[in-house]
Amino acid sequence: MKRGRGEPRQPPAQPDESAQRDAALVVRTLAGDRTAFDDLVRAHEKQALAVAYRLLNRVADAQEVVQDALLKAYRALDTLENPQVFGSWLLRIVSNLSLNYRRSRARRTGLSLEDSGRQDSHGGQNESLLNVLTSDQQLPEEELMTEELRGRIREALEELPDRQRTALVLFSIEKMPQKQVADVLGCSVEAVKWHVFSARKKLKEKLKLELSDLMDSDDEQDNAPI
Amino acid sequence: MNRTTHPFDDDAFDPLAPVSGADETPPAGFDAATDSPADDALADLLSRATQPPTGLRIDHARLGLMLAAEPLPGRRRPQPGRIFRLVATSLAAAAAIVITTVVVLRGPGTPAQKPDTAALTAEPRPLRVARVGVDPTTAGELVANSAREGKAEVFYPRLPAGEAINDNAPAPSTSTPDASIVLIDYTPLTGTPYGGTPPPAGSTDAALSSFMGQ
Repeated sequence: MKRGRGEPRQPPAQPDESAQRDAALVVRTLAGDRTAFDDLVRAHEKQALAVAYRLLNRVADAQEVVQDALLKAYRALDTLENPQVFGSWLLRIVSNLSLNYRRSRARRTGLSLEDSGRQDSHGGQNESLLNVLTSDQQLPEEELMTEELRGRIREALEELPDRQRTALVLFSIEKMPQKQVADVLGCSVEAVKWHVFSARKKLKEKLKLELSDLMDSDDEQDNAPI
Repeated sequence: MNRTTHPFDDDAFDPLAPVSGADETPPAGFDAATDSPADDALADLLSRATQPPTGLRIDHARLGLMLAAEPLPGRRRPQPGRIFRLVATSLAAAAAIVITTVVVLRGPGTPAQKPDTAALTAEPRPLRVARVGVDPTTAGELVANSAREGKAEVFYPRLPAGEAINDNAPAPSTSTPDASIVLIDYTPLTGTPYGGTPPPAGSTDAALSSFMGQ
């Protein structure tokens, strides 16, 4: 993968409490304390899985990618110049692996990305979410969303360029700060704003009907007599 | 334990690099407005449509085994490919040193262009003087002296069988292949010393003296 000119090799510093904690755990790991890396895994596993799943739409693929990302992060931990940015660095690896995995999967199956995304919905043909959920896993409330609507939304998301989709997932869905999204993408905050703006514009156009329904229902709820 | 790899993983793919894609830059004057209600609704819609299942987690036991099989970061075991590259690099460096040493010692240029130092330091090859048509005992004094001083080698090639000495013809060249000078001597001297005076004009010794610059 080519790195853009002038783009930082690693995300810049994020001096906050979690960043300080991550830095200490990275240092301990590099000193030979393997349990410190387990703590890093536990701290970032949930968000890494969520991002991978939203980019891949398959539970098993997301698990595989995150596991691979953690392994790669462990191997390359000594190359991380600023241990405070471990979280952004790991999400960058997860995002890259997810996008690469999607491309490989599409080539392997001979399906277009759109077809791949369509089949990857929870009730998809290849791998149903219900088949991979363990006994302690439950479908969220949002499963009430119809499969047809979910398919249309995912299809629209799949059609976005990689960076726009990643920026939107990280910023709008994962609620990450723009600065951190910029660190993951390796671009400026302005570029993140532009990616998000462009992605939103395309999706609003494609999901015009769905959005109007959603906003109408919200209005009805707001205006409902108490 | 084998490392986890994707079946279609590209070797050139670098997961640590920034996320790839077209490097779009906002147009001049672009100013992102604050999130509108439509943006919030869109985010909500997307979030619900892509919501990961609760309880989604990685296989910690498997990851733990894989990490346990890994060397500590920064203390990696050398991979076979790395060992091969190391050996190849070492051999190449050694070969380069040897070649450089040889070139430096031999100096620039090819062997054919170099002066033959052995030829320069060796004794000059004596002048080979062939005398034809005379008896060996009648060699001129100068030739005899030159031979004694190592300046000339006088030899008397054999004439082809049955060929009589022709007083008017030079000796056959085939009989004097190594001769620097072929003298046809029709005035054999008796070997009488000249006593420091030049050899008589027209004599063989006079011609030889002139040829040798003496």
